[in-house]
Amino acid sequence: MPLNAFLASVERRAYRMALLAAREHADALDIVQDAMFSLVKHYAEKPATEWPLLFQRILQNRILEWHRHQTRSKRWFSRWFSNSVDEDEEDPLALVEDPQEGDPQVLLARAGDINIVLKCVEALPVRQQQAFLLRAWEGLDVADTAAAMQCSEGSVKTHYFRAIQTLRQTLVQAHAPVADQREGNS
Amino acid sequence: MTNPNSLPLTDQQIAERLAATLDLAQTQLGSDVTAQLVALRREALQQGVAKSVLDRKGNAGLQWPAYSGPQWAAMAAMVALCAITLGVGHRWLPAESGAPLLVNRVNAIAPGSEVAPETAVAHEPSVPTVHSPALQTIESMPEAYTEDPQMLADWEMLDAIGEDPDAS
Repeated sequence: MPLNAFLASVERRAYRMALLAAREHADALDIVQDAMFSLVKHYAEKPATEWPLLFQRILQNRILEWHRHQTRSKRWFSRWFSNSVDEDEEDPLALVEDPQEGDPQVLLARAGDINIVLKCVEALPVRQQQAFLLRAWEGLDVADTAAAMQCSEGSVKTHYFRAIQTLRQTLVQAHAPVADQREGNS
Repeated sequence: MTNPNSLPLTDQQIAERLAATLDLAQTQLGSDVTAQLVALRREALQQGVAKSVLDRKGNAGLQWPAYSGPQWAAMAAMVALCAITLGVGHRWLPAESGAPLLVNRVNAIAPGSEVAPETAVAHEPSVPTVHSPALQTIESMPEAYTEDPQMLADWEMLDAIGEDPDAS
């Protein structure tokens, strides 16, 4: 498979991943282009079977670099201009042990709503987001996800578990206002 | 009998549903985004190929020469010899060419100097000598003067109260 065809097959999903992390169209495009450029420059001569994992590894690296840069900038900015503290890495929702379970049917319906799902995934801390997208969306196994995220398999399992718990919780919370509204109308 | 629709969803079911929704979201990417992705892919391919060719050419010039071990040893020995030569040579440089002579000349023409400039130029000590009047005064002091315990005690006392012992 030529490199052009491979990149064409992954660029849209890569863009979506970058957009979920960066939340800015231009930044997402930059991240994807950087990842493509790096793959072409360094790994074009590798076997085509290795490209998917290599590309994911580069892409996740770029996303993480971008996120770290933003976090640093935010920290400096907030130090001078506000008292807010960046708590992105330590999401308290992720630590909830027994989230309130909503109606399974409503939960499934919410999980099928594109806007809600994009917002929920977007709200995940970056490492949980990476673990969820690579495992659930890209279909990578734990070992490949660990290679792409450059962390241990145990960390992948932890991030993935927390991501699912957080998503379940946020889907329930997304459901709650609608239920309240219905009760209020009746 | 329990209604299967009322059972709590497993993590796997939620993950699969979310993944399906994300797939669906991909179909709704705008044509402008798609066009931008195509453009940046082409650019990345062109730049990446061009850069990798450049790198290969550039790296060839920056690689270490393929010398053998003895050749490297010979070069290291030559560098060491040069360093030693320069170091030793610097110590053996004649005084006329260095700073000591300059100090000597400056001191020689200083007011109160006992040595005439022409003498100072002709005199080429390996260690520079200072001919300032103050230093000569100290040098001309008798040893007993500085070793007298009473005198030293007086000096220490004057030092302690911050007075200049030479003022009196």
